[in-house]
Amino acid sequence: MSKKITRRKFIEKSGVMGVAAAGAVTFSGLSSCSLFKDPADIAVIQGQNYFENTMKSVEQIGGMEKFVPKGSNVGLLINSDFEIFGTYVNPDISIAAVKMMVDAGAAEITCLQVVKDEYWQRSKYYEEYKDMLASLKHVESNTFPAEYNEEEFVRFENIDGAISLEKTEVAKKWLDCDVFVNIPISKHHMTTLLTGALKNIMGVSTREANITFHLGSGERNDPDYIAQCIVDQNMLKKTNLCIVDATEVIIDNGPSGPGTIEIPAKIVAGTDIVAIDALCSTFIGYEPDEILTTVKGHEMGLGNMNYNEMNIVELTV
Amino acid sequence: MKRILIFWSIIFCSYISFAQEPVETKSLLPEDGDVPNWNLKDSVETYLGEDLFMYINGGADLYLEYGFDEVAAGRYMNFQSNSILVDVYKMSSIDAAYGVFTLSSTSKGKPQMLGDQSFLYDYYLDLWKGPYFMRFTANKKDNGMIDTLMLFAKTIVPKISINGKKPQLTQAFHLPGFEITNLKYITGIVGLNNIFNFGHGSIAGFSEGLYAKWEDKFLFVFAYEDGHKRREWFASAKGKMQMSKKFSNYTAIYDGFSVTDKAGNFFSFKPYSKYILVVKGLGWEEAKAVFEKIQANLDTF
Repeated sequence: MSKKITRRKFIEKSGVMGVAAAGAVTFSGLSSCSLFKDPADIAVIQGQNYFENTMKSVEQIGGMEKFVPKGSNVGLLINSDFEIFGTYVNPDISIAAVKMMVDAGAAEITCLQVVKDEYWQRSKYYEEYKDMLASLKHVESNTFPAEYNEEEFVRFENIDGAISLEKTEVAKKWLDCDVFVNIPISKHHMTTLLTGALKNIMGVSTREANITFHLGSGERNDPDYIAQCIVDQNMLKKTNLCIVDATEVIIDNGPSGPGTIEIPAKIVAGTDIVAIDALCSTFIGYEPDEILTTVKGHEMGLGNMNYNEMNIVELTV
Repeated sequence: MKRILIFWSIIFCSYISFAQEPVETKSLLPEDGDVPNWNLKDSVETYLGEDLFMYINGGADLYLEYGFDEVAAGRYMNFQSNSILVDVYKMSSIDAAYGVFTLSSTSKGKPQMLGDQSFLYDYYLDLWKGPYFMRFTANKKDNGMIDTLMLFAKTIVPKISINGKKPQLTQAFHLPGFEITNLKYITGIVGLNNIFNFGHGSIAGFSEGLYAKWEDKFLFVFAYEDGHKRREWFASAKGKMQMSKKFSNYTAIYDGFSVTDKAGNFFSFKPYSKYILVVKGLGWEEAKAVFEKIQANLDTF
């Protein structure tokens, strides 16, 4: 079963012998990939500079170029539409991610859910990068509470392989993009316990579709049903890259807060969103098997909740 | 004489009925000029029942679990383009409004003499009055804005004639000599998940519950429909706790049991009448005295 990754495990798994006694490893100014034989499956970077650490996290798993080929169209989903600190992705992280995509040569980056200017303005990096942020496209009608329209959404009924999700409405751009980048915050949620990578996918849907996740079983707040719907929707398209904000997050009264803030100060990057959610759930006091989306995602083959079986790099900088 | 009595009875009943007639929630919100220099931007929005999902992005489940009727929301602006959002939630009962209020409250709130209970935070004010829970949110942290939140609240509170009374269960934690803080009243698993997760299905099925902090300990009381339901759910909790990966060191003691979490904290569980009592932070022997005090309070119900 899953266990929390330790520095020893990181050292063992990454094959770096010399830094074993060094404690924190600082990669500032180094090409970190050169230190390792293979890129990690998951990178966990802990430290206070969230902008820099976001970049380091992606470097550790192979660099943005590996995920965003030059000229590609990126669909970007950021959990940004909350107002209370600890409930939305720190915008420093999102700006760093966008910068990496732009630098990698993305032809077009579309926010699959509208990211408002006021969100970006919360970052100290806003002034420096505001022109870059202004170049982002948005699925304009996907702002809470999003309503279906034929131009920007597509309806699914009788979804192949889905267990609970009978119908949904999702942003066309999500399905059409070359690369899907998912940037959630790992925080508490009163129904699913964890809002992470899997749950974030509700951000590409209309409000009406999302309400069916909550009410569709006929029993309000049926945790099994909502978890299965979330996993079913994730089966429609693979996440190509996931960067999780596990820096300063609420651990109760979620998802909208206010709540008790925990500060793991970690940024997690990888492609296996089940493993990532399993790992991130431990940062806010849960066992991976307490989170039904994680368990069902694993059962459906969406990823591996036994994250300890993966090559995880954990660094403190 | 009989006719006169009937006449006055009808008049009296009509008066009572009128005095307690719930006003339209929308009409509680301030009109332009009620708070000097602040005007309503757009119109007041209202959402009924499950339409709440169209208003709240995450969290509607909680209100619906408590019992929710309607919300009226208005955004107000002044000439400096500052804004204040006023949300007035009409819950289906006084207990429900109290519950939402307590669950929303944090230790950072400063008590105010407004409504049945209210707490002021750095940029918002939460208020409970009768069957209403209200939140007044400023768009920035500023002393002037905080004062204005209070003015907004003062325009609404006098319009609500019904006074709130805390649910009887809250008396369970009337424990002289104990410094009880962070009291929260819940009516289901969504509320409980907001406080603590005992694991799926372990503590469930209760009709109401109470949580509070006492120093670094957590106290819980879960009330069930009757003793039979409580027995069923307590048996379920015992089974789940023995299998739990979150808890270990399951020890059966008398009619209760204790476990420890991964940090080594004790959790002591005790069934009593139609209740399950839980203390986090004390082993069984130490918890016994606390259980007895709570039981004595429950006996008075």
